[in-house]
Amino acid sequence: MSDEEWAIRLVEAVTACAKSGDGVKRFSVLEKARLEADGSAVRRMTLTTLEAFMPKLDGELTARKYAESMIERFGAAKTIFNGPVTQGAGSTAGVNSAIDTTISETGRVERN
Amino acid sequence: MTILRLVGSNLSPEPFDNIEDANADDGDAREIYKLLEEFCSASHLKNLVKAYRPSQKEFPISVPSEELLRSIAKLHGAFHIPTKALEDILERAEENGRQHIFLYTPATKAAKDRLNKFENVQKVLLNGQTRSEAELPKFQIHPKGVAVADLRQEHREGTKYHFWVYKLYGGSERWIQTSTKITDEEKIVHYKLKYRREVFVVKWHSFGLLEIRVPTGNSYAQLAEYRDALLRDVTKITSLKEDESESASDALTRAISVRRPPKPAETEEPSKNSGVIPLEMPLSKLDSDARSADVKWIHVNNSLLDFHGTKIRVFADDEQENAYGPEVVKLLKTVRDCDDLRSIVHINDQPDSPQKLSVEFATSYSNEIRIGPQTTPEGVEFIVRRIWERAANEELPSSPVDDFGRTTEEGPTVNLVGIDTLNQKYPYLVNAFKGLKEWVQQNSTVGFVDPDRLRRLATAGVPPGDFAIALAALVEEGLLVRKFRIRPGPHRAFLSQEFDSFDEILKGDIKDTKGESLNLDDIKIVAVFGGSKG
Repeated sequence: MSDEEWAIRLVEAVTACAKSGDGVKRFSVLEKARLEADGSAVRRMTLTTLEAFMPKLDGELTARKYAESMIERFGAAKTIFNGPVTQGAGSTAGVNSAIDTTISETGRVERN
Repeated sequence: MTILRLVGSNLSPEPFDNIEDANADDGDAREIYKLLEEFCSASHLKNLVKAYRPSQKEFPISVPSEELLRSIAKLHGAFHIPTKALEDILERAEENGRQHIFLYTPATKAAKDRLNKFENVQKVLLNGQTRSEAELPKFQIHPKGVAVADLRQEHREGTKYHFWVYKLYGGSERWIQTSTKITDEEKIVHYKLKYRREVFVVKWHSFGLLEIRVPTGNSYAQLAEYRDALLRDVTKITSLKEDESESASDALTRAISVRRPPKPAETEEPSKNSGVIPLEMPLSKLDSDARSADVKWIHVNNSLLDFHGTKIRVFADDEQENAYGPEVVKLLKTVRDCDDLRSIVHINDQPDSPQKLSVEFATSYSNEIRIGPQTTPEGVEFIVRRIWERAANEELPSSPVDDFGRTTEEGPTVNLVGIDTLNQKYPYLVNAFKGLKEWVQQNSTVGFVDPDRLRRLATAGVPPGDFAIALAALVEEGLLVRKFRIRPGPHRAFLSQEFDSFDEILKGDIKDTKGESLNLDDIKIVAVFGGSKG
């Protein structure tokens, strides 16, 4: 099973717990999944994400879309953290510059 | 019924540190809440409540806007939200939405160069003063007459794109019809003088597009008059003639005056000699986009088409509906000349709540669009960029706002080769990283904090989804540590100890503060996060 399929299943299971109002079960589900996650950073990060916040799914945002978006962002997150190794657009200065740029509550991109 | 708690009423002055709050006028507070209701989207209001609420239970966010506004009033009244935060959010929101936007392109390269030279713009519009010398921005709730509110230039990180915004407030009294009484021989219409606050905006985009924004709710003639008044200042910039004619401010002051009838709409081209020319709305191209299965951001709700001299209006029953279903598109295959277009533009500028913005193209003037309420600067920028591209038949260099037109059906395709791309594609994520990184550096030995509180402490307004990703990545990298805390039962305090794993909670015989074993059916578990040295 791909990490993505695995994440979709997990998001579905966790949101089902939210619907049933069973908070402890949510962590129980996550703990069981943790046994399958070893060796995959994406899976481990998926677990932490779901421990931190319960996804709010509605008609448009399905478990699949949520999981896809989450995994896509993990790729970005790893790049931000590690910093690209090449020069030019992906230089360390570029990383700092990106991190110095914030987005305000109104959605405006700002340079600090 | 809306109940708004007034500023400072029945409250201890202790929690506030902003003297302005203490002096804020009750009427002003009420007015700010009304303006927030008018200009801010539910997402804006949610972010505000989330950033400042002391408890989630008392201030839920999955509620209608009216409830969010009540929470904001309550939080503001209790000095949790500073007045400055309300003003800041309002200042951005009032510039975008519920407007007629007239679009112009520079008539010559010289005019474009002058509009791109901000020093020149500043010199002309602020009478030789700089922004700080003119003490801008000046936020006003009750402007009297016409006053310059702001002139600012902003750059987009990693691109050559920049823009400037010139904002004016207008405050005037208007005759508003209140009632009509008809008898056998008489008709009596009652009018009442009511105060009206207007926000006028001129925005220049460095790629060669000028916007003149006039609030909706004005007559056709007034609209033209305001537009022409604002064009006066544009003329001064492009011609470098400072003192030859009256300023936009003077002309607007006259135009908003209640004491004289509005002038009839000009028949002469108003932008003549202003250095800019009206952009001819590329209606057929926009209409074609709406019919295309590949273009997802625009859905037409109502259009007027010319079919060999016969006008055909195509419209959907519901204003949110797409009138161009596959059958209609097939039927209209040979009909291409579009006269006006009312559409719904899908914009994903708030990751958690994609907006559907109502946009009418060229319904009153050929270079004008009318946009619905409660959008964002990026949302409007997305639309005017698409219009410019279609009118100029030229693609603009990519911009972060281009992604805002992505619909939720589309899978994002991202090439993560450069940090510029990251910054453009994931501004919230970058912001979450920045905030968390700083928080960890400054609080490496502080205890563990629940994610929602950490989100408030480390960042403001970052959506939970993006924040959680940054959190997870930092845990993975070992900068943050995740633990668990337990609340033994409803209305009881969390136990002071933290647990490394869920197994430890299940298998360990954990006692509460009274020495009793925990009942797993009653407990609440939360993940908490802290610096690795915590």
